[in-house]
Amino acid sequence: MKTVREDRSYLIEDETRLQSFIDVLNTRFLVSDTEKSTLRITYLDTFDWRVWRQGGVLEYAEKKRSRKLRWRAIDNRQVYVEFPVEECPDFINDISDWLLPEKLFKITRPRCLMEQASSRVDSQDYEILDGSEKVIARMRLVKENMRYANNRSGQALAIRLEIINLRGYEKEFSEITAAAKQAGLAEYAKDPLLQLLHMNDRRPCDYSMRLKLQIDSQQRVDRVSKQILLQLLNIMQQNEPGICNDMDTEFLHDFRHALHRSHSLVSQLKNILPVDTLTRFDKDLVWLEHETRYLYELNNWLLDFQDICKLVPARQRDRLDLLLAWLREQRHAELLRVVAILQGQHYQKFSKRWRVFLDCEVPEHTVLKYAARPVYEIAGIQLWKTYKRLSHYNGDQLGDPEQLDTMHRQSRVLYDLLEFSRSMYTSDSVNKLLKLNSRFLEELRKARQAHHRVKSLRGFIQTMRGEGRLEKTAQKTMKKLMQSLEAIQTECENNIATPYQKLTESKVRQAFRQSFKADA
Amino acid sequence: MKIIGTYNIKGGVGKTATAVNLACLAALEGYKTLIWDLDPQGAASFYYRIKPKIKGGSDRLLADRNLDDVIKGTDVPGLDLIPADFSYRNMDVQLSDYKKPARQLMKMLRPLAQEYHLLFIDCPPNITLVSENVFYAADALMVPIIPTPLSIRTHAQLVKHLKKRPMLELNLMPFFSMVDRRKKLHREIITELPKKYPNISEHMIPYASQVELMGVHRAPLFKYASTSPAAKAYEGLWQSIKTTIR
Repeated sequence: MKTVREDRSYLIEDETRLQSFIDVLNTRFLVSDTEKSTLRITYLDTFDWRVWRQGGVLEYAEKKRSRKLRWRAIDNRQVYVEFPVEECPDFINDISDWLLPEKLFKITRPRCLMEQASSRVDSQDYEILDGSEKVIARMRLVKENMRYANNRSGQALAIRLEIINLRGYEKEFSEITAAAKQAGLAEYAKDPLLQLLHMNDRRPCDYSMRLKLQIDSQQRVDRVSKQILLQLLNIMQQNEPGICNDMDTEFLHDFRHALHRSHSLVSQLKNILPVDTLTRFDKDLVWLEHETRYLYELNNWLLDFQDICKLVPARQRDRLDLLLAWLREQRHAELLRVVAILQGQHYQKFSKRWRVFLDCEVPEHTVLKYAARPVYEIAGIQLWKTYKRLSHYNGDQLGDPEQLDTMHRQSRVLYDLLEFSRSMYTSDSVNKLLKLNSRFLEELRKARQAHHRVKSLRGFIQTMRGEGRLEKTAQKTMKKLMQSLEAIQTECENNIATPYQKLTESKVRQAFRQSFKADA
Repeated sequence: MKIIGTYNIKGGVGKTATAVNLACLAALEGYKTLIWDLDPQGAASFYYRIKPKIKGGSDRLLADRNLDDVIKGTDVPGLDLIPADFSYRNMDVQLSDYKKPARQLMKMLRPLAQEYHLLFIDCPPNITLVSENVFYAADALMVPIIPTPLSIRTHAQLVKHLKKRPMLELNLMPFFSMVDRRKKLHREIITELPKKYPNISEHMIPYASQVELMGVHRAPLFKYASTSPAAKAYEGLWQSIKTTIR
């Protein structure tokens, strides 16, 4: 496809200049002002700004009877896709299948769309006509007032004139833009959303599940540990409202991710932070992991339900509707329970105390053996120790569920330590080891998920049968599903061996040794 | 992209008016819409003030398979048009020179799928290789029927013809056009015919001078008579199409 010439935008500092431009245009064409209109734009993105991170902006625009969703680039404002919608979508897959851009679906899935900013655009539209009174281009004088997220007051942006190119009339468009130049209009290509963020001194992607760490290798390990744990607590707390309002399932995912990492780090901090304090908080972290596990599992089942259905023959899929309805009910009840926990006294007290502890500066003098040692030294010791522990398994027998759990825990610790320490080491070496471990961790994750899925389906069948909600035909289909899941489990377990061998082969061991072992 | 053809073997039944007005409604609602004036008479191009001429004619268009260079923007925001050309009268002969001659238009339209949500094809009134191409390319076929015996007869011919092509995934959407309720014959036919063809739309377009005035205004109905009964009838028809093609 030929690239259509982009529309142009000009800054209008005084309206006399606009009039002189229109006068110039009227010598060659006919400019007619059509109507004044108001457009309301809502800038949408996910909680973690996924659309923005991929270089895009999502706009929901409402004007009279037309409601559109536009996905465009941030920098050059090129429109990727634009389509009508009935209302502002909560999720991208609320849009009709035939209009939904697959790429956008993949970017945002499964996150809900939230209003990040909004604007009111008052415009005066003009048509530029040729000798036969055919429209050959359009112009729009735009006065835009933008509002950031929940701010009450809006901010006026610079007044601009947009000249819109009409397909097949490129020659005339060139004449018009030349006239704009002749009239002394300055081109203006600033993105309104970027302008607003700049005016509010805000950056998108304020939230990220990734830690923003810049560790000085000589910093005390206790101080760094507290800094990491505090960031993890912040992530947990940023996700709480999303869980409680049931906005999307990723809030719980990120919450639990931060929770796991906190627990995993706390278990590494013996002789670095006071042991009785750590034990007390770790008990709460474990409790919280346990309390949120079932909801997380139900979320995963519901998210993957369509794919799971494909594991049984097409003509039997309808019979799984019973399971779907039951899962939804269970989730609803479980969500209420988790929300009650998060709003309950026990959790609130824990997070308050945890924050107070983490905010508190470490004492200058400490009796704890490793607390005042440089983080570089301790991280190296822990990394080497964890790697050694992880590499002692027999590569041919990796399928045992308990062993899988232990390996997953160790690989996870290794991953976290490598990521926490990334800024202290030459990035190439750490990145390579991180990649190898990530590949292994991913296979372990799949194997564990397959194992849990079989186990949970067994539990679902038992409970549903107990509740008298399982018909014979549905039971048969669920048994078939169980067989397919078991086959997947075996396949996943077999896939662990290769990345494990790669992670533990002698040259990688050597690399770990050289990078992290103190006396190497 | 969904492709909707407006077609009838018989001429003068309101195919062009339907394509022009429905395309306009779709664009006003925010669908990026294209209309292809495939009728050598060029009435749709005329209504949209676009010269019914394409460089090199249909011969070059079929050879290059490049519609991109001939598309023109219309006076309706969001609506573009592929103009007619007098050489389209020879298109069926030209198509017969190609391998799989009935699928050439479908291939030509494929690159446009990323750019437009809807394409309306205003077909010429006959049953030739060009119409066969439209049958293969389209998702739906809007068939205007004037409530008169001749029009009913051509509709029956079309239904019979399409029955022989079960492989076509074509949604046939007949509707009454140019209905004059003052005429007894019209009243009888609009009551009786849906019993035989239950897929005939409940939305019917009245006979209205406002529709004829499209040629004077050189614009779709919604530009100058958006509240007229005919405009309302097209809106009803458009709403029912939207539900069907979804």
